[in-house]
Amino acid sequence: MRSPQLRTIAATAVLCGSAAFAQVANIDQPVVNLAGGPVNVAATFDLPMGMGPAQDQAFALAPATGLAFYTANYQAFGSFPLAFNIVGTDPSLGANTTTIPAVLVPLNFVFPNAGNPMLDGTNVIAATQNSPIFQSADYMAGSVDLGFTQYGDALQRGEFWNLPGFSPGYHVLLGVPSIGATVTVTVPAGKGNAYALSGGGFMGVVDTAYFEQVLMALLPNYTANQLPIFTTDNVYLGTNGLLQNCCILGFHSSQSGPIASAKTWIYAAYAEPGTFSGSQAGLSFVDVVPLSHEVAEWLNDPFVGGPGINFIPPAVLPNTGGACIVNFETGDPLETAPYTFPKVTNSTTYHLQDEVFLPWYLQDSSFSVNGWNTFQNLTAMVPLVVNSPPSIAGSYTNTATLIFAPVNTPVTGNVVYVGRGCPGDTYLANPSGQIALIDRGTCAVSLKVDAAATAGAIGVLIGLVAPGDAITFVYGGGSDFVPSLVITQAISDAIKNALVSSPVNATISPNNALPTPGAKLCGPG
Amino acid sequence: MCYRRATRAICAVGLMLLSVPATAATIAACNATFTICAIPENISLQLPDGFEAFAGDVILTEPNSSVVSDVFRIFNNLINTGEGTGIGNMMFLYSADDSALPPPSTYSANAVFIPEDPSGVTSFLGNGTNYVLNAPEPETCLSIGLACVATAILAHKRSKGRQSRLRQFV
Repeated sequence: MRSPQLRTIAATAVLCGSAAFAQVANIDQPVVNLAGGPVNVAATFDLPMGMGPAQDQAFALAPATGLAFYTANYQAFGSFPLAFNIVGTDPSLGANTTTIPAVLVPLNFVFPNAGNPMLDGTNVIAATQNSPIFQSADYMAGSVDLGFTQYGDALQRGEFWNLPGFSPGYHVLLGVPSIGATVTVTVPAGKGNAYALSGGGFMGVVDTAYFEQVLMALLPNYTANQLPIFTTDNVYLGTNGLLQNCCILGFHSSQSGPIASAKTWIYAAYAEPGTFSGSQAGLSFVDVVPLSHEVAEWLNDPFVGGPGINFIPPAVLPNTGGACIVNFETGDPLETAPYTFPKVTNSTTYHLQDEVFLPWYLQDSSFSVNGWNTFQNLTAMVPLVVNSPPSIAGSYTNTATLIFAPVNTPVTGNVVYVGRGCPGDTYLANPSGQIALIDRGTCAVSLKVDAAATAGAIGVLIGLVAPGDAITFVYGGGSDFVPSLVITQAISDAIKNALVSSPVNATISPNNALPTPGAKLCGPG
Repeated sequence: MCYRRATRAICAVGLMLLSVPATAATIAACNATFTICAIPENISLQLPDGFEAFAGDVILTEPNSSVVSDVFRIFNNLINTGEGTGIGNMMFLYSADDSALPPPSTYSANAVFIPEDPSGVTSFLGNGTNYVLNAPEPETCLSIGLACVATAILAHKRSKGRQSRLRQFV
C-alpha cells in the first residue's frame, strides 16, 4: 500500500508520466470473467487517500503492549541512513524468533441484489489456514535454501540473509491463527453488489468507505500485539460497490502513533480461481496472492510509514505508466502483473506474490540473499548459455522469462527444433528429455510450453520470428510447464543453423540469473 | 493508514541534504490543478499550499552543447531520502548568467538533463506538472519582454519580502 499523503503526486504521475518513465509492459490489464463477458478492472492494493483511523484516545493512553517490531537505519545510496520500523527483532542482532498472534476474521457479505447472494469468508478460512501464509514449505533463492518455513518468514530471511550479524536462526512467524466469529454484513443498497461469474458463482464489490466503517467497528475486539486478518471470499472493494470502480484486493493499515501501542490489521480477499483471467498460473490474482501481498507489506511497513519513517527514495512503480512510490511497500512494485509463484502446502498448490526487498529501493543490494532485489528474482534476466558447438557457444543475455514457466531449476540438455508447437501441431522432432525450441506465433505461448512439457521436454526456448529484443508473454492457458526462456530471432536462427550439422547443448539456470535491477528513481517534479 | 499522522511526519523531518537558499520564499505561480507552474530564475520559490513535488535537479544545457546553463532544483525540504531525492515544496532556478551554479557533485541522484530552449524559456514536464523555466539570456530578454516583466515583478515581490499568494498562472 502506498503512502497516502503523496497519492496526489503518484496519481499525477500515473496520468501524465512522460515517455522517460514508460515501461515496456507486455502485460494485460486484469480482467474479471463475468457471466456476461470479460470486464477490465483496475486491480490494486490501495485504500483511497485519507482513509483509515486515527488512534483512539483510550488506547493511546494504554500501556505499550503493542506489536513486536524494531527500528533500524539502512543506508540509501550506500551512505544515507533512512529509518525503518519492521516487524520482528533486528536481524543484525542474530538468532531470534518472533511470533505474532494472528486472528482470521471471516466476513460474510449478504448483497442487496436479487436473491440476496451471499459470499461468506468462512468458506475460505480452512484454505487460508492451510496456505503457505501459515504453513511451512521449502523456499529456495537460487541455490540458497532459505528454510522450511512460512512465506513471510522466508521473505524476511531472504531480505536480510547477508546482513552482518544475521543468523539462520532468525525468524518472524505468524502464530497458529485463531478463528474469529463470522461477522455477517448485510450490505445496504448502493453499498455493494454481487456479480455472476462466467464459471459459476459470484464475486462481490463493496463500497470502500462502507467497508472501512465495518472494520472500524470490529477493531476494538483486537489488541495491538495481534494481527487481525479480515478475510473475504471473493469480495473486493470499489467506490459505491460498483464493478467499474473495482478492485481493491486487500490493504494493510494501522492506527496513528504512538506506534508502541498502535493496532495494525489486514484485509485480504481470497481470490477464487477463475475470477480473474489467467488465474490458473502466474500473472494473476488467485487464492492467497492478495494475502501474501499484504502480509509481506505489513511485515516491512506495519505502521504504513510515519512518523518520519519507512520512506524510501521515490521510485517508479513498474508497469504503471510512471507512478511513483515513496514509502517502503514490498508488494506494490510487483503487483502489476502480479508476479506470482506456486507453492504447495497440505497437498494444495497456492500462489504467492514475489516481493521486492528493501535493497531494491535503497539502490544498494548488499545485504539481501544473492544480492537479489526480489524474493524470488522473478523479474530477473536469465541468460541462455549455449555449451556447444563451439561455433555458437556462449552466454546470450537478450532473453525474457515467462512468469508461468519460471526458470526455478537448472536445465541442461540438447536442443531440438520442433516448429510452431501449438496444440495439435506435429512436432518436427521429439522433444522428450530435451529442450524444445519453438517458434513464436499463432497460439498462446503458454499453450506451446504446456504441449512441450506434456511431450516430455525438460525446457523450452521460444524463438521470436521477427527482429527485436526478447519480450515476455502473458498466460493464455495450460497447466504443465517447464523452465522456459524467450530468445531473439537471431539466437533462434543461430541454433537452427547449427542443428543442421551438429547437436546443440544448452543450459538455462537460475544460478546464472542476473539480479533484478534496483528501482528506477522517480524524476524531479 | 492515517493521513493525519503522515502529514505530521512530513513536518517533523528536519535534516536537509541540500540547503535551501536562506532568502524568504515567494509562492510559485501555479494553476489550481498544479499542472503548470511559472519558475522565474534566481528566486526562492515555494509551491502553493497543498502541493508537494519529488525533489531533484533539472540540468539545462546550452542548445547544441553540453555546457550547463541553468539548474532547476526542487529541494528535499519535506522528506530527505538522500542524494537530493525525497519530497519538497521549495525550489530555485539557478542561472549561470546571474549566480553560481550548483557544482555537479551536488546534482541529485535522479537528475535529468534537458537542452535549454533558445528563447530562454524552457518547459520541463515533471510528474504531471509543466514547469516553465524562465531563465532568458540577457540579450534574449528584449525579445521576450513579457516573460522578463513577469520575472521582474516576482523579483520585486521577493525584495519586499511579501508572502502573499500570486494569482493563478492560468
